[in-house]
Amino acid sequence: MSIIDILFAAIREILMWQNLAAMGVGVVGGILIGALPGLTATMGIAILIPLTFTMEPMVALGMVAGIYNGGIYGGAIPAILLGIPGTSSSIPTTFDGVPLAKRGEAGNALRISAWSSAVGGVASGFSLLLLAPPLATVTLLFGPAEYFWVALFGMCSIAILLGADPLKGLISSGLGLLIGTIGIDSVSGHERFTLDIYYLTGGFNFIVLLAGLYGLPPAIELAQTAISQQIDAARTAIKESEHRFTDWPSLFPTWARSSMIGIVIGILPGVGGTMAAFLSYNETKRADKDPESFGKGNYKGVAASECGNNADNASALIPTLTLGVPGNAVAAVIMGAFLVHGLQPGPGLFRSEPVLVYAFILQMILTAAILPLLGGTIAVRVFAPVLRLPQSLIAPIVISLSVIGVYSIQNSVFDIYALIGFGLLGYILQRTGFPLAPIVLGVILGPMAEQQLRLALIISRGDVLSIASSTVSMILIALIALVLLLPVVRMLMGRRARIDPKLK
Amino acid sequence: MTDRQTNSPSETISGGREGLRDQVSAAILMCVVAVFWWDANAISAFEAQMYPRLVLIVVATLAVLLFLRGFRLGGKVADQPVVSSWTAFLAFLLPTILYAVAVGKIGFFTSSIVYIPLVAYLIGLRSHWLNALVSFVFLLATWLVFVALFARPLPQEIFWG
Repeated sequence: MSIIDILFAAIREILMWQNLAAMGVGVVGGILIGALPGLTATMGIAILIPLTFTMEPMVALGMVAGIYNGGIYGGAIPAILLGIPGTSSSIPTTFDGVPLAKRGEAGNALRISAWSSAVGGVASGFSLLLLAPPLATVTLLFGPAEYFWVALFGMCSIAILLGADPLKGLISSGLGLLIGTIGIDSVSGHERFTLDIYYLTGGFNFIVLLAGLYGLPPAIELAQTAISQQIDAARTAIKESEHRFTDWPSLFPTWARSSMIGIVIGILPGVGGTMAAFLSYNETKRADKDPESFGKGNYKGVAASECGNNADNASALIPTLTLGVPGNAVAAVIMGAFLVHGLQPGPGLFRSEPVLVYAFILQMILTAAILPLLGGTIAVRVFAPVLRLPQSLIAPIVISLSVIGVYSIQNSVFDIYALIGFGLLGYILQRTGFPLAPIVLGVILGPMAEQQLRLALIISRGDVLSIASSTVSMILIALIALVLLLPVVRMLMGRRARIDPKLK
Repeated sequence: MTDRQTNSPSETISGGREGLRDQVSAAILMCVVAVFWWDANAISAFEAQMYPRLVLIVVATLAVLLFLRGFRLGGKVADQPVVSSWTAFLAFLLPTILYAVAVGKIGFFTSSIVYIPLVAYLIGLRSHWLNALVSFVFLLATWLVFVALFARPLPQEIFWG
């Protein structure tokens, strides 16, 4: 089957009504989740994955794609209307979104943010479509040793680059690896750390871990800020200005620049949409003839931020789909959605399920393209009552949704207890500065790393040096060393800057 | 001027000392490592022990580094306290733990119809009609999706199961 045939087969599949409905529901659900301050796209996907459990994989992935794109865009709505970014990647949207809303142009700002998100998302989707298949072909040449190093590189880069504290990031990775060892050893069949608890023989359910780590901590945070941050209903009114923004061509250079920045940032492991949005905003401001107008209600400021953070979406999935190594937290959660349906992301998936992979890529493009339709001004008017929901109600609802979701996976009350346990653990770790994404990555990549390492050692008859002998392995080891040395270099540079202020 | 000198008493109370916090975290980690190490003896095959022990050694080394770094951080104030409002935290957490137990015993909908409005009230919602309305709409939507649409088996309800 040629690529063209696969693409047409994928298009036929995604145009079926079930897929279209799932994508639509996903986008609307994602926008709602992203629009509620404190809730993120990662959390939305994590707690809604159980809902997709009974669906066909393609329908489920369409919904996941919708939640992802919708969730990242949704953050712009409260950023513009309330000055509260729904997600961290919408922070730069507040810089110009709020001044625009104050001068009665909230409608224009929302239209620009929806279209910019769509442009960024579609561009990112095409980058995934163009870059992932050839990269997957290259990674087919990898053997067990190379896969072991890839897994190690993925974990190290996320642990070091994602959080503010590399040491705590590495500890989080270690905790994830440890949790991943609980259950039956896939190679020898022996039980490990099960404490004779029957439910633990299969290990912790990955979705329970995700829902616990990503669903409960925001709910506990919401509970603590519920009283102090009640949203003023009057402020969510969308004022329509006398003039409707029509100068779309003036945004084309901003969209092109921000799309490029977002795509590149997305491919880099551990960087993420927040950085993409800030960089896009700064570059647009720097390139503009009137940089002083930024922060005072410049349309390009909103466009740059929203285009940049959505251009990161699909491209962040390139390492996930080609190597099976997620580059950030949301990619790890999406990988979980694949795993729930028995699909192992990686080059093998392009061979075993080509139509499904291409359909998912097209779903990423399509769900981004329909953002202006489902998330424009009219839709926001419909969502406005939800924005007025008190946080004191959202917090228990998130818990309730997580509970019913994890129970419905395998009808196990033990999973509910595990959910609460992981939720508390996640909350405490987050508050003490330990990032959560490396834990998830450790749980996903740990078993893969162990399996590949043991396989490589069996193939080489126990020769440890042989796992580092190929060129690809050596390159990967060098990259790991580079990533691990990065904090040391940063520390030394910081020390030099303190000694010599000119270096700052 | 060091961080120690600039900290006001209120900041110290709210954020806590980062160095000490890291040392407590490291000590807890070491305990976790010890428990896992001890439990690893129960794994009958050496090959199945090897990888977890390797991970445990790495985590233990990192925990020691974290503990030692705590001395260097000294009295530096942490960005945020572990719990910013104990009242809200407990008002949320205790009913949530009870809820997790109750779902399996008396059913999801029976326990949720009590849990959602109660917690919303405890953490500050005083509009009773909004509380009741949103709880009802949420549970109705949940029933439609999980029971009517996807026919997922849920725990037996004590009243109307």
